[in-house]
Amino acid sequence: MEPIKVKIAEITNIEPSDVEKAAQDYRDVDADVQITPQPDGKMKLEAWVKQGALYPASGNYMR
Amino acid sequence: MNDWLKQFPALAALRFLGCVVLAALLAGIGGYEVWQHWDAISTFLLANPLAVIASLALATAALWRIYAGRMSEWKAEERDVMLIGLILGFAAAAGIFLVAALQPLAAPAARASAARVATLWAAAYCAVGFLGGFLFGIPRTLQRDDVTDSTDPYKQRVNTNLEQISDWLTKIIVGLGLVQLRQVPSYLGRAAEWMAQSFSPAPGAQLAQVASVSNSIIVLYSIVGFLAGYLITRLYLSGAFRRADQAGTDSSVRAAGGKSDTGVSKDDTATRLRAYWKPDGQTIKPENEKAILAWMHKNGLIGASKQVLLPNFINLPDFAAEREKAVKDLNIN
Repeated sequence: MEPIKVKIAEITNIEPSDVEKAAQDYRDVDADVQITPQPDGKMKLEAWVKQGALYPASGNYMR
Repeated sequence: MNDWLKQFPALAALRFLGCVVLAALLAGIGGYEVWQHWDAISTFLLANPLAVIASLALATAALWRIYAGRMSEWKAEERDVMLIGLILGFAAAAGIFLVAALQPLAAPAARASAARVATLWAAAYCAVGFLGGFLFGIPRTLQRDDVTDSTDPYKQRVNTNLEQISDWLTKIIVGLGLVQLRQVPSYLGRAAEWMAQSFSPAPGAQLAQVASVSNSIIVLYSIVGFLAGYLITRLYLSGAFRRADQAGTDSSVRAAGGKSDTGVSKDDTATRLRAYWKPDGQTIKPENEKAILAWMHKNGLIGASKQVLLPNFINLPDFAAEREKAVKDLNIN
């Protein structure tokens, strides 16, 4: 069964040049990231993590 | 007027007591049947329509006096719902004329029960109208239906079955209604005649007379119920549905500190914290991550009520002040 994921970020109006760096920060904590272009040319970033997700490097839990 | 009442709590209590006594009288609690005196009341109402209109106007003025000052503090949608509720409430109350007109047509032994039965019919037609209004007014939820996109993370989607049913039903009702439009008066007449028999008409009274009053009850209360259902759904329930649907998502995003409408931070503290977290720009340094998380714990960013996620802490403009303190406390150059 697919684990339950919780949404942990919704950032709008990101400059296109900044979005990839921010997205990588979320991917580094094992988050699923979705980037959507806005009609005004800026970007929207949304991120989800598994419930009880682990910070992969330090071993801390994100409840 | 409310301030005045607040200064005299006994009067406020008296007002509450008055409502309780009125409700008890209408319910027949204590053996006093107000409906048994309905004959006299209905005769008075029918003979004095101007007195009734004047009473309604006075009641409106009194309510206005009580709530006009307070209404400015209400949200716009609350104000709209209250005003519409008041207007529809008066329209429904005006239907008391119909109950009153029905009373003399019923057999003497059945007059009290006729009033009750008429009230029940009115409530039933009001409820049917309300359901129709709700079905016509129910908001549509826009969402993607495709679930094949494997890169799309797990999402709960709102169950829209009722919306689809409302879509079919409203189209069927309008379509059939137009096709059968010429038959509507005949159906209405038959429904009214069937309803009229439940009032035990007096031997001298013609069934057609009772049926015409019944017809009025059907039309008035269906329309009032429909308008109430439609307007309350559009004005209030739409917002309530939206709040309920978004509550889960919004609360998890807010608890993680991840909501921003102003993009991501580009300030120096964000760059320095990110460099401390990922010194080579790609790989997380576990001891540094632990140090940042410990600082966040100590400074209330991670606790029982919120769980700010590290990437949110680094990227969101809202945490600029906290980042500055963290950079200082952790001696990040």
